[in-house]
Amino acid sequence: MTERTAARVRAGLEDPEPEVRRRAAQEIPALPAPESCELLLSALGDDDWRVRKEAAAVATRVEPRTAVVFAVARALAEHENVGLRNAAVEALILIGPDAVPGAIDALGRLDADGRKLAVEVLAGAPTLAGIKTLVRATKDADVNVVIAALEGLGKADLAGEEARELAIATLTALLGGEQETTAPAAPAAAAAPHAAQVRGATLDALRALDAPVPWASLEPLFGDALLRRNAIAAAAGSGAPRALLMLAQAVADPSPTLAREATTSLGRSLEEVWGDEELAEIAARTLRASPAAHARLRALARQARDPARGAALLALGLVRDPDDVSLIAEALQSDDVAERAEAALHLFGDQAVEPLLAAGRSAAPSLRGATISMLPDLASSEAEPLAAVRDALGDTSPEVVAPALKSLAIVGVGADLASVARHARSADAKVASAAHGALLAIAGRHVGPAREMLQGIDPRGDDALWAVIVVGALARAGAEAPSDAAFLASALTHREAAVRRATIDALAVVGGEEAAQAVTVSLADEEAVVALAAIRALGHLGHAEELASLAATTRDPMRLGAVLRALREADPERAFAAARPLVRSRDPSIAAAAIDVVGDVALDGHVEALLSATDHPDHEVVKLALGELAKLGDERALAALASAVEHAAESVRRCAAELLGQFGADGESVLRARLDRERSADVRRSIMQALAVRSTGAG
Amino acid sequence: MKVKKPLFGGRRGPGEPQLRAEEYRLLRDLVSERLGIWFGPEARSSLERRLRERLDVRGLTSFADYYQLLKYSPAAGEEWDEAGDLLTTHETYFFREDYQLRAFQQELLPMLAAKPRRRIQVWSAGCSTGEEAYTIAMLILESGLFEPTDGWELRVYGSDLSKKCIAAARRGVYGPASFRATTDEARARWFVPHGREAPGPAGDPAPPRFYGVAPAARSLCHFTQMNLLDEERTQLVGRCDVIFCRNVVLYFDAAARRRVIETFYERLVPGGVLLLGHAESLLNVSTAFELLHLKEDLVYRKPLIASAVK
Repeated sequence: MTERTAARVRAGLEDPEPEVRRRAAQEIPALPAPESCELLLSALGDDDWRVRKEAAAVATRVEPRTAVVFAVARALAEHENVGLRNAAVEALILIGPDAVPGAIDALGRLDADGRKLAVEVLAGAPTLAGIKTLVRATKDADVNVVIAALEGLGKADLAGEEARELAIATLTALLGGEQETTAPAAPAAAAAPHAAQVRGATLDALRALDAPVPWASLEPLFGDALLRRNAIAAAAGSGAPRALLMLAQAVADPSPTLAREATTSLGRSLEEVWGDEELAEIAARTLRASPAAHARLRALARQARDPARGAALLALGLVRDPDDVSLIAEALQSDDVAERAEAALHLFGDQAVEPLLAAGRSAAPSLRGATISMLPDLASSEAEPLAAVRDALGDTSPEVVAPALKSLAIVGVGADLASVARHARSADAKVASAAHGALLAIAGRHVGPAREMLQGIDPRGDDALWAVIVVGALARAGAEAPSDAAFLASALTHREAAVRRATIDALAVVGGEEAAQAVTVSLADEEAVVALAAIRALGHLGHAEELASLAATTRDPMRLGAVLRALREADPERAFAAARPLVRSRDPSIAAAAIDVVGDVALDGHVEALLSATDHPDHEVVKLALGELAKLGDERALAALASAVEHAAESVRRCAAELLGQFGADGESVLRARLDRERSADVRRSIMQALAVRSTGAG
Repeated sequence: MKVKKPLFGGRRGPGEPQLRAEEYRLLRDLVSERLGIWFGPEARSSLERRLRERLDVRGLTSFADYYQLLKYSPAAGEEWDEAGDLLTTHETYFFREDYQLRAFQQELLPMLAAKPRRRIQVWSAGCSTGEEAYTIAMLILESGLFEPTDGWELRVYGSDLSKKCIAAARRGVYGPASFRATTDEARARWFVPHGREAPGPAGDPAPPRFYGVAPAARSLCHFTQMNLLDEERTQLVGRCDVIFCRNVVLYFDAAARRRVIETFYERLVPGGVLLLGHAESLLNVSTAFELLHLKEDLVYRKPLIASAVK
């Protein structure tokens, strides 16, 4: 059988049709060694790129791996077939840490071209051992090897903190920095004629590692035509006054590439010095004085997918030209830059109001909504903006009305209650929800007009919804009236579920035995939103007995989750007692609800309960338990995560890897050990990301 | 660009729930598994903003509850429709990325016209509100190569994750934003004014703001709501000669991208062509397609021999 398969694969790889050869390559992992290695190399050297690419992909599944690695690494010495060499690099990178010893071994035997390829493998599969080898390769006799090694050091964060620190020390020393280091103090003599290239690669690597470069080292390089781009990129995040000045100047650079890089770096620096007006003003003055810089920022701020867009928006905020407000407001609709657009508009303060109002008048609904939502922040006490917010309540689009309601929640007054109330029964969920929030907020602040508004309202009529919301707001503000209880009791039988739900919310605030009895009746409501509100209300009212009994009988996961959480609010010990046996429920939905509660109630035995869920057959339950355990941050959690990173399911291993990234040096050791053995490329990526997050302190 | 520290902490109304880190991790993974859409570490506030309204509609007070609903509730199916609608990007317009459309019209359509079987099916996968599917239909008709009287059977399928988008596509009426790349000539040929506008200050009728797709193009297009990761549903599309999937897979994680590309491969006839967005490629995703160099574009072709060796 195997012989026949081998013969078929061999014949397939010799077929004149590339598609046949590609499909034959897919079968190589099914063959035994040494034939698998031989045919893999043959496919890696195929004339067609698709066959080579397929062979590189299947290399990860060919066994025995050590033999594969050393066989493929030998192909790095190939001179004639460039396709084979490149495919060999790709295959080794995909194999990952297991390929590192082969690449290190090859490095000592190969010529300059081959060494460069071996270095690329070490850079593509970053491990501590590989990074140490790259540090040595920065002294190579060939400048291309040196540069490839420097680029590889820029990925050292993916191999953990120790690797990152080693790389930064090496790179800083190469740059002639001031930090103490055990790394070589100067580039190899062979690289000296290419000093600019080496320095450029060094700066880029430091930038990639998010490592600060002393401004004193960077400033002279801004005038160096060869290194200007690298220096601008490396200055990102610098808060030195001269850095802000020179980056702002560089925004006007005639080269669009340099100008974009300068804008990005300036944006990072502005974020670093955010709130320091003196420093920001240095950049602002420079940008205002340069029409070219201003024009460049406008162009970048218009580019929907440009990575420099957010930085350009921030910089335009510094310039504070009213003509830019509509351009910045446009960006409020884009998730990726909305936060920076808001920040930029805040820099304008009330100067943004007029142009924002003008932009909002003729814009599409989503932009009108975005501008309306900004107005209270920019000018909360001025009449004209507030009038615009109130006018927006009459807009036909929910995208405008909902933000207007949210704005009024912040700045509305008693006189706004009636117009807000009209939206409480909107068919648009977003609008109805915003109206609910606004009523609660305004009525809580303006109890007199709110109480007055309730006069003559029928609790079973069409106005009941806003009325019960207002009653709830008054109760929250401590302004209940004796008649409220009867009003709510009547509203609780309203034909509309939304009214019944809002009534229960209000009763939960009013409190008392009567309220609890009324709420209990609603547990049987056929509408889930009403029943869930009743469960929550019982928790708020402290009715543990009833909830404990519900926990024993409820099987619907949504309801059970709500019951357990409500019980947690009423009586954490009983909630724990009810939830603990459920963490191993065969029904994953019930186990998940129980884990949520057990994790949150830190009572004796909760760790053991969570640990017992880590071998649940449902992987999602295991992930939930790991997430709760990770919050402990102790040795037991570390042990559980270390075990989970060996789990059979990839999704669990990825989750454990991400959580281990938060566990300091101990977590890093576990991750590095697993990285060396992990076969799944996706899990390896998660491990490297976790190591990078840990080493840079990001996330 | 990485944000080192929040500048304003996001916009959250009074009493609105916050998406905690662990909730984000769970929801992010669930969305990735179900819809293929990947939210990176910087996208937490985006996910929170997009899904927040659903908590209120469902009467929930935390994103943990919402995760439970999506994962375990019997109502999860309908909730995914709502969530999918909120989590996808709907930005599109007629005659978008004209260089690719020229390649389709001037090079691919003549190839298709030479087919022995007089049946052409094009799939606009991730069609949003339908502009792309209608554009394709217009280009096919405009080419003059496929006269129905010659026995040609023509069909353009548009699919999208969002039910609301599909409803809009079926309605086929569009406002100014959809026409940013449409010439006056094309507008006159392929669209008909829709609805009445208020008279201008001088009393004369204002130019229409909304247009409907002309019946000739409409009749070619069929729309359906579909998750591209749902293999059972994608089977229903039938075999396609061309698949447009532009600016969709770039939002997917690697595993979802591989699955979707496998689906496209399987749905294409041998020799069928896949067109991706200009920022998308199959590099490190699939080796199953050949590169086909056109004058203005590079597209992916399912090898002619594929079915023979499968």
